[in-house]
Amino acid sequence: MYKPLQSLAVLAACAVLPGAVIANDEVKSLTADANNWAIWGGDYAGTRYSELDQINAGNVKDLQVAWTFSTGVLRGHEGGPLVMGDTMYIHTPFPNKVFAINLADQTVKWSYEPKQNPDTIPVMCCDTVNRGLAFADGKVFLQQADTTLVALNADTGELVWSVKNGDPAKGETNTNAPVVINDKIVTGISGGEFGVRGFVVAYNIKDGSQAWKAYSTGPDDEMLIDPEKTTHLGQPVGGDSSLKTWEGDQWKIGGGTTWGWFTYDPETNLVYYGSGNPGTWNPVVRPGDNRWSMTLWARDADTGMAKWVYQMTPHDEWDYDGVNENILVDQEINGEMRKLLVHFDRNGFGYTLDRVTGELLVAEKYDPATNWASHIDMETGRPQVVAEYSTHQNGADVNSEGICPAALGSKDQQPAAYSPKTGLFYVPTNHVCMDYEPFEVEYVAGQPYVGATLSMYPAGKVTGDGSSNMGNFIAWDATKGEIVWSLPERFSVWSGALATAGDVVFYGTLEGHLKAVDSKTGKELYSFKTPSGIIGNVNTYTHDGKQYVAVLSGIGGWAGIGMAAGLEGDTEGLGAVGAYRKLSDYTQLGGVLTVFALPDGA
Amino acid sequence: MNVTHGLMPLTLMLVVGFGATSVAEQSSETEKPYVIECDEQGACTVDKATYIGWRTYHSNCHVCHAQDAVGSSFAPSLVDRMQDIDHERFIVSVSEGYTGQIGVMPAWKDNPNVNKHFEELYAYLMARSDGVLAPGKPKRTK
Ligand code: HEC
Repeated sequence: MYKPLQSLAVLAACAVLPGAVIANDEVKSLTADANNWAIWGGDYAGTRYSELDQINAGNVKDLQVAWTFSTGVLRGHEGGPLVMGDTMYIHTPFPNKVFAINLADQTVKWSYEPKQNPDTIPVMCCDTVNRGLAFADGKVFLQQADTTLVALNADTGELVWSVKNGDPAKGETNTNAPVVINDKIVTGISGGEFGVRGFVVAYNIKDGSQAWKAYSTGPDDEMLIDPEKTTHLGQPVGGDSSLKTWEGDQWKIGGGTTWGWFTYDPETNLVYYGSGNPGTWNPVVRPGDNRWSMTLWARDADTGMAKWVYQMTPHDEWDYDGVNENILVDQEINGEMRKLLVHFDRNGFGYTLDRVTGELLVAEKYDPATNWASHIDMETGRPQVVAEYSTHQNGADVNSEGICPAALGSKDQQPAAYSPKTGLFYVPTNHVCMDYEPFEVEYVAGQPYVGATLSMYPAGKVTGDGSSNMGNFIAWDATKGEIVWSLPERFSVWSGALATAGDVVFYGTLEGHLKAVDSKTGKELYSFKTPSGIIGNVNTYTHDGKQYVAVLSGIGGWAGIGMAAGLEGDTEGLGAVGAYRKLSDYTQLGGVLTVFALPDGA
Repeated sequence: MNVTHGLMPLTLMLVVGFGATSVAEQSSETEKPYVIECDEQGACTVDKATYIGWRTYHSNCHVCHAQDAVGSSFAPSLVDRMQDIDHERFIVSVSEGYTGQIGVMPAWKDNPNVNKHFEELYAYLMARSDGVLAPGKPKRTK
C-alpha cells in the first residue's frame, strides 16, 4: 500500500479559490503538473518522482541526445534544471550564472552573471558548487556563493531584490538551493569547516525582508526552540538544550550549518532539513553532545518555531553532517499508514521517522560496511559507538583506522528518489572508508577550522571482501530498513536520482554516464557517456507534449576532490591494483547540459 | 637501515631497494629539506618536519589539492607543481596566496595553524614531489 504525497498536493491545489493565489499554492500547482520540473525535488516532498511515462522500461534503450548546452564554467555542477512551461532555468557553480533557455528553439532568453568577490572561492570547502534555483511569484531565486540571495524577474532576468545572508570573511558561504514556502523563501548557510554557527532563515519573497531566523546552536530563543513544546523523540527538550551540551562559548563557533536540501509538508506546514557537523573536527576539545548539530529539524514554515528535533550523531567524531534530504512519503508500517520522513544520513544509517511527531521508526545501515556504530538504540535514538572507531576515545594525535563510512558519508548531498509505484527509494551512495586523526587547532575567523587529518579509500580495504568499488546505487525499503538491490559503481555515485512512472530510474556516474535502470530489478537499460562526470541531478519534463530527461555534467564537488585523484598508493590488501585508475583517466572538467529524448515517431 | 635524502623514484626503491651510498651520490644532500630512512623491505620513516608537513597539509591543503597532494578537479597536483617552483616562490605563494589559470589559492600568512609550518609543508611536499615518499600517512623515525 502506498499513497503518494503528490496526489494530495493535486487535491490541495484544486481546492484553492480563484484569486486567492499565494506563492505556496503556486509552487504546489506548478509541481502538481508533471510537465514541469518546478522545484529541486520535483515536488515539495522531495520524491524526485515524475508521473511522466512516455519514456519507459520498454523504450528507454532507444533514448538519444536531443540537444546540449555548454555553461562555460569548469567547476563541479550540482543541482539540476528547472522547467516551467516553455522555459528552462539552469545555474552554474561560481560565478553562479543563470540561463533562461527558450525550449522552443534552445536560445538564451536571458542570462545573469553576478559580480562576486573571488575571495569567496577559497572559503568554500569542497568546490564552488551550487545546488540550484527556486521559482515562484514570477521570480527565479538564486542563493549565490557569496551569500547574496537574489530574486530575478523570471521573464527578463532583471534583479528584483537581493539580501546578504552572511559574511564570506568569516567563512560564511552558500551552496544550497533555497525553497519557496507560502510567501517566504527559506535558505541556509555553509561554512562548517570555518567555525560558522549554522542557521536557517526565511525572507519574504515580495521584498527580501527577513521573516524569521533560527540558529542550530545557542540560547533557546535564538534557535526558535520552545523548551516545553519542542520535542526530541516525543519528550520536551527542556531549557538550554543546546547550551548545556557545549563547553563555555564553543557553541558560537559550533557549526551545525545548513547547506542541504529543504522539504515541506503543506498539510502540517512543517519545513524539514538537517544541520551539519559541530565546529572543529577534533572531538576531544568539545565535550558534550554538541546540540543541535547533526540534527533533523521540523519547523513551522510561517514562524520558524521548532516542532521537533532528532540528533542522529551526538558529539560527532567523524564529520557525519546531518544535512542530507528528508523525503516525505506516506507508507504502511506494521499494517498502519504512516506519514513518514526518510533520511539517508552521512553516518551510514537510513532513518524512517513519523514526520508529524518525530518518532523514530526505523534506523538501519544502508551500506553494510558501516562499522562506527553497531546499531541505533531505538529508545534513546543514540548510536551505539564501537570503541575502536571512536576518534575521541582513541584521542588526539592518534590515527583511528578503518572507519566506515568516510567523512563524505555513505551518502552526501546527492538526493535519492522515491517511486510510489514500487514503494522503494533509489539511493546514490558512497562506499568509502577512512583513517581519521584529530588534533588541536586554533580558531581564526575566516580560516579553516578543521583539526583532523583524513585519508580515504574504497570500503573493500576494510571489509576484506575483495571489492574495489567506491559507490553503489541501491534500492531501499524504508519501511523495513532493507536493501532490495544494489548496483556497484567504480566511483561514488554523486548524482541525484530520478524515478518515473515509466518504471525507470535514472542516475549519473562520476565517469560521466547517464544510466537508466529498471525500477523493479535494477537491470541496466541504457547508458550514455556525457561530456564530463555527473554530480548533478537528473530531472524530467515535457515540451510540446514530448518527454525529455535533462542533466548537468561537470565533474567536481567533494567527490572530485576527495576521490578524483585515484588511489594508487592505497591499494595494499585490495588485490586489484590498477582498478583504481584515476578519475581523470575517465573524464575532465566542463559544465554541459545534456537533454535526452526518444527519437521522433518512436 | 639505509638513509636517503635523495631523488630515487619510489617504484625503484620498492622494487630493488637501494644502498645508502648510491643514493647519497645521486643527491646533493644539503639541498633536501626532508630526511627519509628506508629499510631493505622499502618501509620508510620520515623526520619530524616532514611528518608535521604531512599533518598540516592534510588538515588545510587537501581540501583543494587532494589527499597526498596529487591534485583534484579543483587545484593542481603539487607533486607536479613543486618541481616547477623554488623555495622562495613556494613561501611567497603560500603566504600571500596565488591566482593562476586554474583558480584562486587563499593566503595562509594569517592562519596560525599553517603559518608556523611553512618549512614543514615544503619538506613534505618536496618529498612527495621528488618521488621518495609514498602516498598515505608517513611513519616518524624513532
Ligand atoms: C581553496 C583551495 C586551496 C587550498 C585550501 C590550498 N590551495 Fe594551493 N592552490 C590552489 C589553486 C587553485 C592553485 C593553483 C592556482 C593556479 O595555478 O591557477 C594553488 C596553487 C598552489 C601552489 C603553487 C603556487 C605557485 O606559485 O605556482 C602551491 C605551492 C600551493 N598551492 C600550496 C598549497 C598549500 C601548502 C596549501 C595548504 C596550506 C594550499 N595550497 C591550500 C587552491 C588551494
